[in-house]
Amino acid sequence: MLSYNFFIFLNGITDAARLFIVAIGLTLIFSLMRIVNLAHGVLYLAGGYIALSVMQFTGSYLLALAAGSLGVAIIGFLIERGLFIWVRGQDLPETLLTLALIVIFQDTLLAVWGGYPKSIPKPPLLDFSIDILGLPYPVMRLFTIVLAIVIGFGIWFLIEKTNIGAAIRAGVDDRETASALGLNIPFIFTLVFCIGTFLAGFAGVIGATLTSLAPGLDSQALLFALVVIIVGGLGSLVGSAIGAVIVGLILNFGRSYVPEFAFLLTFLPMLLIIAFRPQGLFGKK
Amino acid sequence: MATANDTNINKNTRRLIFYLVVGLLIASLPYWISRFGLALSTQIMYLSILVMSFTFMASHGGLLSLAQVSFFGIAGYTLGILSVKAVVPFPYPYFLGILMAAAGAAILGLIAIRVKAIPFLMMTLAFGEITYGTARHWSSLTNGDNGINDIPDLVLFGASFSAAKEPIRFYYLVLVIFIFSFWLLNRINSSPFGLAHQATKQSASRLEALGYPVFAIKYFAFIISAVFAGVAGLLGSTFEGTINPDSIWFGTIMFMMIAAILGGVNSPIGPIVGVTVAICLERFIEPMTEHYRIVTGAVFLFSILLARQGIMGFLESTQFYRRALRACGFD
Repeated sequence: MLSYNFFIFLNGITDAARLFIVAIGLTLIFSLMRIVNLAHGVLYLAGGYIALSVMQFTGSYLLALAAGSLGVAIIGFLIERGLFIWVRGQDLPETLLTLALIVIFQDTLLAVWGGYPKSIPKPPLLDFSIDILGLPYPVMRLFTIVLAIVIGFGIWFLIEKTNIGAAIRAGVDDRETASALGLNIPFIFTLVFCIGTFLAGFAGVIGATLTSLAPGLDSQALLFALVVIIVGGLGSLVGSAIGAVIVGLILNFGRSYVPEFAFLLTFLPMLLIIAFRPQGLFGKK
Repeated sequence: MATANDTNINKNTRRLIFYLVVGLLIASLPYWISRFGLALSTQIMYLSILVMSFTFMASHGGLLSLAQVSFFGIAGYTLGILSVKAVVPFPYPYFLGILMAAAGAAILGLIAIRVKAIPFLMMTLAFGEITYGTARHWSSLTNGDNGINDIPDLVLFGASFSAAKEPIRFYYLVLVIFIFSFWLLNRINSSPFGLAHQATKQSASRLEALGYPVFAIKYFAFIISAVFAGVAGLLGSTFEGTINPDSIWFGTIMFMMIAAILGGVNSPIGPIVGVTVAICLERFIEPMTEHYRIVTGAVFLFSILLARQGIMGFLESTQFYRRALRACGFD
């Protein structure tokens, strides 16, 4: 029983790592641009599909990973430069725009890749299991934890320790002053949006390897990412990590013990947080 | 004096004629339109009620509630579960359907009404996905992906109002409910409560300072909007004879948004225009490509970028529309 629970716990943590990678792009974009990019989920799916095609074409997982994330980053660049420019600074149209993009992309993905569930084969280097407590456990799942930690630290380092990060932080705190001091705010916006969408595509490739690719998974990804960042606090890196762990654990324990309600149960922390601490666990007022 | 009276009488007659013509057109519709057109018109009416419940909250810079589709679904599922699985006799599933939709809004509203526009949109979107997910996963109650089928036909005063067998009767039933909802919503909007509700959208803090209970007004308005969405859900699932997760998926939410924005959020007849245009657009493109949502999505995108006031907003700004209004006796 104890080992059973331990495996659920392990699944919860690896799921949390995946959720964290999805959520971090969303929260990054929000923290600077104050846009809730609702198209994040569909970009996640697009990343997975692009990687799938590249994988089938070249057979190289690394190339697929790069193509999936970079491809989505390029789409992000086009969205930011082509569309957001027109509605900059207007909250509601910005959000509606991302909703419109969902509709368009969902059907485009369906038209190109079809409706049957697909998945990306695991990279051969990680396609084996190790024994934990006498039972085999896929290494790819454990590797996701490493990946999440590396990405988390990478983003932290970028924002806290580099010049670009300092410019981003200045843009978050006071857009006008930063702009008056000669920082190229539009460039920083585009950069952050591209990084955010890059992470969406990256998460899509990882998600497609661990689980699968199918229409409808985009809204699921978006939904869990929203829950994670609402629980953790919009725009907070640590918050997203804690939020992901909470949601991942609840999801997996729920699935094992009360399967019919697992989905509903996942939203319990979000409701509690909104009711008692609307800014999230680590959010600023 | 006499001339002023004359023009008033004149105006009243013209308005009367306008109402008569429009009324006759709508009332005689079943007798000259195809069966497909009749089903489409029935659909347009109940979907208009849904979109009106959305614009009731959204007009004049208010809150965009994507949860209306969930209330639509909650009412539909309550009707389905009670009448098919629990075999509760006729009027009660319908009453309880509306009651459950209102209860859903009462619970969601407690937390969602407090926040600003964008978080509100996020939360209602999340609520929509939660309802959809629950409908799919809680299969012992909702039959999962199969949904609840064979919702019994309506029988009122001994006459069957089956949407399949008596489409004309069903059309008139929906028409009556639709006109009543349209009248009632506009009535609410022009009542003291409705005016206070509109004021909460424009300047909540000033209204608060004047001593109005802003939270209670918004909360109550949210519940009212859910009741109308619930009515639409009851009509919709009775019409289709089924309720399943596909009725309340993300696409329905987007259809509601597209129709509302396309028609014009601030105009009372915007929802009707929007739903009609959006449905006709879909039915028109559907035979050409199954991926018609790319086109509707693009239309939505352009109306956000270029024409945020929608079709009605555009019309209202033209000379022609004003002249036409005056010709029909409206000022």
